[in-house]
Amino acid sequence: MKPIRVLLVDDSAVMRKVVERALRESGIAVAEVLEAGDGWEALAVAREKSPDLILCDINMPTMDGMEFLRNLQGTESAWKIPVVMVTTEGGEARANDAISAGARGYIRKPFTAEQLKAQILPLVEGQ
Amino acid sequence: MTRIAEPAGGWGPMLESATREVFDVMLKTPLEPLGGAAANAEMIAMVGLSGRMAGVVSVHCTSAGAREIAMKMLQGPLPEEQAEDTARDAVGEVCNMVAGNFKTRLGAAGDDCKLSVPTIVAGGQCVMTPQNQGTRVEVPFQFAGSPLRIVLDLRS
Repeated sequence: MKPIRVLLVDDSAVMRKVVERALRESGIAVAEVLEAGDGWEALAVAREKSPDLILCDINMPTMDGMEFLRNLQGTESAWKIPVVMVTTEGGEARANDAISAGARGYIRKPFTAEQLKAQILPLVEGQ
Repeated sequence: MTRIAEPAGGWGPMLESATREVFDVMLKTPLEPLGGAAANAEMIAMVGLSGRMAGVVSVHCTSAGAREIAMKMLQGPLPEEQAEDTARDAVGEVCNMVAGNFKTRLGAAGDDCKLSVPTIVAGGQCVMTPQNQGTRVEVPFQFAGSPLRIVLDLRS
């Protein structure tokens, strides 16, 4: 598996660092970490940089994670990028909504590096 | 829309277990019972709840406690020039996770409940007083030698 380029989307800079560390602890080789603080910024980065994977929060100001997901699905150059939601919204209904909207995984905060790996590895192994 | 009924054991145990899980998993530091009197808060993070459960989950801590929380989350020292911003961000995220974890413990009923993004108030001696006559549940802890209170204010 080649090292991946990952986009971390969260309005908390601390949480972006926590997710990045968990990703590196999980043993998945990371070539580059891109960051965005809301859905608008994430759309721009995804279109310009075409990351291999996007890890995205849901509750964010200006454009939340669900709206970002729907916008990404309509973006010609980026709709194939796998998106995993990483969120405090732990309910089954919200997870189902995200999967229906195109998310490829759903991780509830708080999470361990092992839980992150279990969701992400199948998505990046073939890349 | 009917309000979510309080469990037989009250909201306290649910709030406590939701908080402990966040600190165990994300900060890798278990919380301890509060040994002495609770100090006045110097930072309060709040996350609003709306829908079948309406109110606020808040985290009350000292400035030193907030820095400790941030250092545990980042597993290292804080960048000197951004230490205060980083501490506020970290306490806000802890509050966000506690509120979300609490909501998850409500089961399917929690699906009809929405969370706001966190708001943080810092400086001096912060006091948060709800205006309505609702329910207040407080769970006191000690974290890295600093007092920490988790509060649930529910609208009546």
